[in-house]
Amino acid sequence: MPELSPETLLNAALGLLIVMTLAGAVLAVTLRKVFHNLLGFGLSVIGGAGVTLILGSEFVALMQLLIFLGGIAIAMVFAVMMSTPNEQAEEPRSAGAVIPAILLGLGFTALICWAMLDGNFPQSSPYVAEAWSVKNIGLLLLTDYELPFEAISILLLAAIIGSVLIARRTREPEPSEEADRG
Amino acid sequence: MPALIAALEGMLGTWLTQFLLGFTALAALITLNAMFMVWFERKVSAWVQGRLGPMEHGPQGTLQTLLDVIKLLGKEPIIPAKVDRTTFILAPVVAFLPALVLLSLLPYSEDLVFTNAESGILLVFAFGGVSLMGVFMGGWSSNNKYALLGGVRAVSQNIAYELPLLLSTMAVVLSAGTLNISKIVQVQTAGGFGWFFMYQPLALIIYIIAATAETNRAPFDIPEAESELVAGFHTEYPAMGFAVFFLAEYTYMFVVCGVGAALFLGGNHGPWLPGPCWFLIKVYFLLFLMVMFRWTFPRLRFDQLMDLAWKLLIPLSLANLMVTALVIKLV
Amino acid sequence: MSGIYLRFLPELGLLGLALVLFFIAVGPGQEADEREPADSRRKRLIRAAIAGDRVALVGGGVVLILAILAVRQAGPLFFGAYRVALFSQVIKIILAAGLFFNIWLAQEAQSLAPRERPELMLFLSLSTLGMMMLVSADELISFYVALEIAAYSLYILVPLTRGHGDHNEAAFKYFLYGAATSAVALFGMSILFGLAGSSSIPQIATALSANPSTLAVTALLLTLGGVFFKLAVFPFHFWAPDVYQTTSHSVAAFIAGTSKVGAVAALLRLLLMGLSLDQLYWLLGALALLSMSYGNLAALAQRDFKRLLAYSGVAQGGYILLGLAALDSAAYAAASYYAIAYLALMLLCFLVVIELGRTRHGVRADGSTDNSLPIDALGGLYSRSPWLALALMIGLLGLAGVPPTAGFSGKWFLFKAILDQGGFWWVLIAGINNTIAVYYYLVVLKAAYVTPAADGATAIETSLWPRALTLSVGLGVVVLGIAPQIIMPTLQAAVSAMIGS
Repeated sequence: MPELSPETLLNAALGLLIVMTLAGAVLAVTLRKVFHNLLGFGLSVIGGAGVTLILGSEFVALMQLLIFLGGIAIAMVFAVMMSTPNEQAEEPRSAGAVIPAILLGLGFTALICWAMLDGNFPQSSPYVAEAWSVKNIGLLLLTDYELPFEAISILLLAAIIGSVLIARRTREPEPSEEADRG
Repeated sequence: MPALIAALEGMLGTWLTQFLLGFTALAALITLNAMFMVWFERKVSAWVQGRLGPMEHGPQGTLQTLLDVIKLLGKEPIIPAKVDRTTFILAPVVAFLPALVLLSLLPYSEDLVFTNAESGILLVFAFGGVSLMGVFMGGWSSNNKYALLGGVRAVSQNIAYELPLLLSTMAVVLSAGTLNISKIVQVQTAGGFGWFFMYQPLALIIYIIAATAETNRAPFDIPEAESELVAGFHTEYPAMGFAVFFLAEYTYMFVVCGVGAALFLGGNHGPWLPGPCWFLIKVYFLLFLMVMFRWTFPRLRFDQLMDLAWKLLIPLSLANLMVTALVIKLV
Repeated sequence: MSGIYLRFLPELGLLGLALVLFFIAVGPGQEADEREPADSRRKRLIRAAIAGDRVALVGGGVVLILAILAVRQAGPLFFGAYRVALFSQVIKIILAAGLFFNIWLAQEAQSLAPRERPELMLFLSLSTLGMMMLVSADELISFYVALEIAAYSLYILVPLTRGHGDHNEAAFKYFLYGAATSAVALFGMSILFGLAGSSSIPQIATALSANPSTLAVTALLLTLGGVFFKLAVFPFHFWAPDVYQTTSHSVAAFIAGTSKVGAVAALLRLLLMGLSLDQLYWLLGALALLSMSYGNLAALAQRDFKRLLAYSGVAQGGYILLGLAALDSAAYAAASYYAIAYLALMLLCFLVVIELGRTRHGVRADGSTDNSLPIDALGGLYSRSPWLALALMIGLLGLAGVPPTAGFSGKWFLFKAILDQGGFWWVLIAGINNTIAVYYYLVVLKAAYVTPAADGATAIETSLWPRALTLSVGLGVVVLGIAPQIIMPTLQAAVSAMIGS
């Protein structure tokens, strides 16, 4: 049996996961059915969670899986309810819309890659397992990141009230649309 | 990364052997468990209804399932004409794939732990989400209204019951101070602490209800309610596709009961008998409960199902979590 | 301990106001009861709406007072994620004033169903809360979350108008653009975090100045993109005309005025904290020139007053951006002065839009809502309502930069600061732009003052509210224009204090 060093193994896994993430992303934008797009996105998310895991943050990776997969499942239900039925053929994409989008996407990617080459990222601090432990993340959420932690709840509350509000409009039309117009 | 490398280095020598051994053992467990559960379920239902159940093949019909498996293997795998082919074929695979990972997370005894993950409990629930995707993929790709409805119901039900399930286990996690399943078992076995169901009876009840719903078991089996939806999300699946979905379902039942046994009932802890035996006894006790639920409770209507989760279980489990946190803080 | 609460006073006030409004919005009687006769239900909803209006008005006033009380506070909060300083406190007063006047304008807003008026007030205050947090956030994640609170509230408000119609399309466009720019901004922030190894903005600033690179400039630009979207400068402006035209007048007024001040302040604060590199000088300058040229030329072609205001807003955003591009404290102070003037002028313009909107039927033949306001509809405004015509005149002349309004002195300060920085060509292009702009503002004024009223147009009865608003804000604009020294030294002190820290 050839000698497998742990680094090679991990790097291979990392490469596989990155390929998976990218492949999922490509599927998510190229396929024609919303359902397939979401599956692609799911693949991408799983790949991303794997990368996070290999980089050493088990908790964040698992939370990503837990939250995103639930979210994708819900998005799928909505996609099924709102998109064209399965048996209907999708309209082909128009080249006039696709080509500029591809060019723009590639251009942006090229720009970022070019800029990345110039960037000098600082040496990351040595890996400490405790730094990413659940306990430490919890402590950080209640100290340094307390404000965003609390503010996100305001944001979510606003989003929930707003979606209920908008959904209500289509559900029960307001009474006497015209009567009180001043 | 360095931690992982160290971990890999330690086990790379025997890595392949261990992997193959573990893989085989778990695969055997999956098959045996499913075969036993099918027979067990038939027997229990017969007992509840005052019948005999399968008696023809083997003593007490124990060979019945084996023959069923052979029958399923011999059937032609049909792929209906208008299904979404790729998704249709992938769906059972996606539903089944996480099962192996999940089984490897359970603490069968102090020594027999396949994966000792630091966030084991989260891992269980995270991979459960993957299998939900498989169920919905099957429902959607079948291009059948019953199947699609079954899939949609499965998603809304699973999302709703995932919350009380997680929250009820979190109460135990808070008390034990770790997310590692083996360590939670150790906390219970350590000198006279006692099992967690004594401290968290409410969490245990919520956990069992939510777990039953998560595995789409009656009385929460509306994703496959046969009187409304033919067979729900797997309506269009013949032969092995159907079998794989079934295998996945029984494996998940084993997993949730395994987690329940480890968290609330002290895992492999018990007198006289060796650890794995105790673990299996506890798991099958919980599984027996779930089978009894199926044959003694009427199926819930969809709105009742949602009411139960959102209006009762989630607030209760939240309250339980808060009280637990308060008690831990004060004691 | 009490000092800590004092520092957070305006935000706490807004949170309290939002909470009260939330309970009015979901309060007893809001749910439908089938047995109740439609008439009594309607009356009940209107009562709740009026209660919400008044509570919001009083609450807005209280928040304004709280913001003024808290002006002298300074220091960090929340483990360094939040920093209260003179600059942020001054901006908070302006934001609170903007909210107060917006609520004032939105009293008994006719383009919204009564049932949804408490929600209008609720989300106006939440959006303002987001902007207030934006100008104090010292940490990238807080900054991003605050940006999103401000934006989400507006995403919800835009489709809130009676019936069905184009506003759904506009709302969707707004949301998609917002989501896309916020994703881009987040991407930029992730690179900034990678470059500095910290999410604290001052630390990022230190790291960037120690180690400038192309990547840093790119990341910074991407991050600022999220704010450019709110400011609606070219090329982030595509949503603006549609949203202004189709959403209800009260919401459009908020987006046009207060929301932009928030965006300007957020941009300014990022630059002031040292998140700036010399390359930004050219990038921001180019963006500013493009924005004002595009906005002004597009505004020339508009036949709808609200669309015209949108494009004029794109152009005005360009002027402000030019001040920011100068990367100099005098120009920063001038830009904040100009933003304040712009807020006041927008309030005056939208006062006219809202009051005129009350008289228009607002429903098309097919039953969809019509929230647009063609310039022709302004015909004979002088004879129909001298008050509104006066408000319109002050507002438009101010936007055109005619003395003695604050619009003039704002531009004067801006151009002077840029000239001092050696930006002669920039000022020249901006000057040419301003000349173009005068044309279309005058077209509107001509419609209001010279064109006779359309047949059947009756006099517009303006109640005490709009008159008082015209008088107070109009007077404010002129006084600020004549005597800018009332607030200029404060702004300068605030800006230099930020640079010094």
